[in-house]
Amino acid sequence: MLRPYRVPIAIGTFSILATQAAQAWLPMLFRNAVAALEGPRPDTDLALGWSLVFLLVTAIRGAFQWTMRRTIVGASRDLERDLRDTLFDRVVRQSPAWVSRHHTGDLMSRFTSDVEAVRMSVGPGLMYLANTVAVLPWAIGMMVAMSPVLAAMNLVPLALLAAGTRWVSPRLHAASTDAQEAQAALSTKAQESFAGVRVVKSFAREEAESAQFRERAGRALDAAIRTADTQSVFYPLVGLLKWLGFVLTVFVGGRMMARGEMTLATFLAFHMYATMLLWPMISLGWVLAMWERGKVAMGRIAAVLESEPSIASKPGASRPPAPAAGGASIEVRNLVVRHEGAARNAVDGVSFSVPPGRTLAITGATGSGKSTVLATIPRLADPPPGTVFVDGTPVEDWPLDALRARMGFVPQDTFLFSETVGENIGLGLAEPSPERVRAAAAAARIDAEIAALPQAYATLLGERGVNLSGGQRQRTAIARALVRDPAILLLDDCLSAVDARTEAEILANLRDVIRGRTTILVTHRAAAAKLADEVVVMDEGRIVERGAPAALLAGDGPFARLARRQTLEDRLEAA
Amino acid sequence: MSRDSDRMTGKAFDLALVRRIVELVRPYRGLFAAAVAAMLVLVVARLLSVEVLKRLVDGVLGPAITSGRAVDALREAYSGIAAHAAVIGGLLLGSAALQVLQMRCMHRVAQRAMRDLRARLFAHVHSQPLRFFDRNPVGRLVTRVVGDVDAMAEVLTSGLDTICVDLFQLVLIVGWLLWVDWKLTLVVMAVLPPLWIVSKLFRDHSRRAFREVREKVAQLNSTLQESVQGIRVLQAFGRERKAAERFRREDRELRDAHLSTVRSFALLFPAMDILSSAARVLLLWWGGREIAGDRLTHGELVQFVLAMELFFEPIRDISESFTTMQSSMAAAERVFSLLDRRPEIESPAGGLRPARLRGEVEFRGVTFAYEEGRPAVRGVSFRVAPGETVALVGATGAGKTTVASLVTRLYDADEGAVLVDGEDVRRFDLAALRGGVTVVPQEVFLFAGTIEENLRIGDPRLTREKLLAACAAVGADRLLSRLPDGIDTVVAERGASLSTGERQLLAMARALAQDPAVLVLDEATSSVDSETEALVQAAIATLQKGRTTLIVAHRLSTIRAADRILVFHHGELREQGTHAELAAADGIYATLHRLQAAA
Repeated sequence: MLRPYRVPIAIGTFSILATQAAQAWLPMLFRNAVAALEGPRPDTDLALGWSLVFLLVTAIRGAFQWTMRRTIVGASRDLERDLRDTLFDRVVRQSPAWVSRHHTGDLMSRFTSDVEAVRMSVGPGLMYLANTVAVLPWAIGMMVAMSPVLAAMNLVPLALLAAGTRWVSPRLHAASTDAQEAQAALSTKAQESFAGVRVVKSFAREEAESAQFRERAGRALDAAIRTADTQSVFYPLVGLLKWLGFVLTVFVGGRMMARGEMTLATFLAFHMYATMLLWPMISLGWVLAMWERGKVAMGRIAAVLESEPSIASKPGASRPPAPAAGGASIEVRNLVVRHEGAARNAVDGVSFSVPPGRTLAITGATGSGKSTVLATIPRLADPPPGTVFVDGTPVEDWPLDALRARMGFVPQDTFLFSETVGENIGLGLAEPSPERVRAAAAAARIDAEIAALPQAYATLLGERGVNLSGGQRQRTAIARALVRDPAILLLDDCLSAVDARTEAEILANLRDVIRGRTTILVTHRAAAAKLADEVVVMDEGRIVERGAPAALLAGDGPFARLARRQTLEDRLEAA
Repeated sequence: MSRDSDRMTGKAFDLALVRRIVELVRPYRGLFAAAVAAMLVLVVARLLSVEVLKRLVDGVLGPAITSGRAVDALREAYSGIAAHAAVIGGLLLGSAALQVLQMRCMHRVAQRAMRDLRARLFAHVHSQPLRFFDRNPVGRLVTRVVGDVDAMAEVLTSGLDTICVDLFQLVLIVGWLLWVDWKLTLVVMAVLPPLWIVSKLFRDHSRRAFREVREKVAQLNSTLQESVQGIRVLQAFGRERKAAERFRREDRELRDAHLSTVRSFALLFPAMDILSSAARVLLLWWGGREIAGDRLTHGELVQFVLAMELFFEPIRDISESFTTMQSSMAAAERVFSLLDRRPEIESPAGGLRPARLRGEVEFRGVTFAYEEGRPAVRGVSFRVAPGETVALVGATGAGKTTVASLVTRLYDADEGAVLVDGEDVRRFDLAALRGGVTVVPQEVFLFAGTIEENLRIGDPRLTREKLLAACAAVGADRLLSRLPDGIDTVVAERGASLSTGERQLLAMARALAQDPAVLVLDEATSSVDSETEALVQAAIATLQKGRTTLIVAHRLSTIRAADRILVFHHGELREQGTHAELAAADGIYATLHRLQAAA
């Protein structure tokens, strides 16, 4: 994981060693300065000289410390960014089913607090640890050289600290896991509640939502307090041991000086070495806490990184040769789809074929499986192997980008991004050109309305495109599908949110749009289905009727009944 | 950018911010007082240990250094000091225990205060009008409520209290030093002004840097949230790479903002070290001269050297806490600025709460614009009698949906008034109003949870039987029987596992179960197939009895049940009357009608 950052880490590690090397001199320099003042004839100039050298070495150490932080903490920020980018790459390639199984809020907390926890453990965590490791031999070596007895007395607190660390570690781990999960649950609640604000408001649910949120916030609170309680034992322990070391040094060192076994200058130098160990000792506790959090967080991140996208190109898949005729074809053979946890098949043995340039309409009741069939063609949901074919090749053998680039898709839920209208329409283009965006908008009959927007194509849409009406959104989505001039057009209920006039306009226009393209049109409007060369009627996942619209209308099947009822309704109105 | 700016431009109102944070603590003043008491005792314990330490140093080191003294005299001094050993041990243990107590109390106070703040912030966000949500991406709001509040907790847990303890320690040490040799103390204190300047510079720089960080975090989260929710579209259009590029760009900006804080810290620590070394140089320089002049003993010099450490330790802690606290302060600024945002639509104090509405709806010269200068509804006036069913028709963008949103005060009219039962909607208690007027929205949003929970959202007291009956009435029973666990089936976030039509059916059942006086169907039948639509039409026919119904329709077939039709065009109410009247008038309605028939 750390390989890409080896240069800054190498410089950082060097800086740590250099810092400690400089630091190791400091007590000796200080000792020399004090020693100059000892005895009956204090040499103030010499003392001043040594203390200035002391200051100079402090400055040199400072320069290395600066380098150390810039390189190592800087690299940890790079690592954090790269980790987030990798996560994003992975998430955005997961199947829509996977994404909807994971709550948005939970995914978001992996990107934020979990990534941060990993960064802390490998960045500052490693830095403090390396510091500790680097300072220990220096300081202990010097202390032992000056006075083995006094050194031993100072190492007692260190040993106690190690013991305390071992006691705290598992407890902290458990507490941090809970805290992080409670935090994720909290994000999820907030995210979902804000996204559903229209419902919350329409049903005056603000208070109930707040109560639920407060309850989850309470759980996060308990977990946070448990973590804090564990930590609250650790820090005072460190403080206690610190003072213990200080007192022991003065007490024992004083006795040694009194016996003439140690000079004042050596005593002070010894004390400075002992102090040098303090910060690394304290930071050991931090490192411990960081690593516990980091471990938990990395587990949560790895869970996402290690879940292979269930829908992906086969290794070495190459684009099938374009059919000789030029047009694209679609074939579905005995397709069966069952949603996870569902009691019955959503699609149950559906077969049809759409030759190049032809149009198939799929109609049927709500929940009959129309949209599910459509979603298997761009592999937004995976069909069983060998059941869905595009240009005669099973969709799973296509490289995913090539397959999806071959078709324009208008989903039922017209999701628009909070970018400009132009960017939304040009979504499918690598290099969106204003001409192509405009042409697509004109083909979808949305161009005049876009031109009337305050900044025309440069108008920014709200988070979910709320400043466009339902019909405008739908036509924007159609324009988005047309901009790539796809050979295949998949329309999922594109007339669902438009009024009579817009429907008439879109239908008239659709005739031109689908000409020359292989089209599947999911719709419940007979008027739209009449545009197709063939109509299939679905019910409970099966095809119950199929044929040319004219032939079906002549009979008395479900499609004829649907069309009659709809024309009847229209006539009734016209009467 | 039409989004609300997230940029903070004001100066650093440190004190005002700290005061507001302290205010959050008020409900927990008992615990807070305990924490402060523990802290004060801790300070006294420290004072004592400093005093004992001073005696130790005076008693042991003083005579030890004055090498002329006899070992016997020393032994005498030691026996006195040995008696202090117990005191020292007790003090050390006692203060460690006190610190545990103090930290635990403080963490409880901080975490509870933050929970309260979070809950308040959450409720406050929900009290904002829809307009606010149109402009503020969900990801940003989540960042405020979760991440920023977390960052704020730092002020209380690792900020304020340690600074207090450190300040006390500082005062004590300075007192001690002045007592030993005030001149030497003043010389050493010469490093304080540069210290102050350095920490001020860092504080200002890191505040700016942390502000930038909070802003970029919110931005990145919005992008992430949107990409996750639009995943189908992203994938269908092969935009994974482009989306990743955008994410990467924003991620890099965040990294750069972070690096700016790293630079701050990287300079702060060495600067503090150099200043403390400078203090030692001053000490040896001046102290050496004093010793040479016999005005200072070696013992006193050693005292100074040791006390200097006790002096610089809190200073170092304080300046570090101050810098870290800038992150909290930057977060606090954002949280409070959101909290200070008055909801444009508020429930009036003592608002009307009628037991049951009669169901009269009236618009008087209502004008409303989502964006200034582009009214969506202009000078609309009409009255709907209790029990009447009125259809709103017109082309896309004619203003029908806006009219529906105005009735439930999702937005407030810019001009004119919307009245329910003859009273301005602004005079009603909001919950009472929305309890009596129910909307089946255009886009149905289901919360993650069971279908039953989703149906009960309007009224938690509804029984399961009532819910099932409502489902049957709109023809959603067929849907329930097809789902694995029926009404107990768990739906994924946003109802993604159900089709648009299925979600709309459930929304209708939800509205029906609530039995409102006024029902607003906003294009509700739009993507339900003809068969289901026929079922729903039948349900509406029974449903509209005894209540006022406004149907926002885009298809003429859905308005047969209406007593009256209002025709909207470009935000204005242009025609109204019965179907026969309007069809005969050869106006907009007749034109719309001919178009539909021709299709």
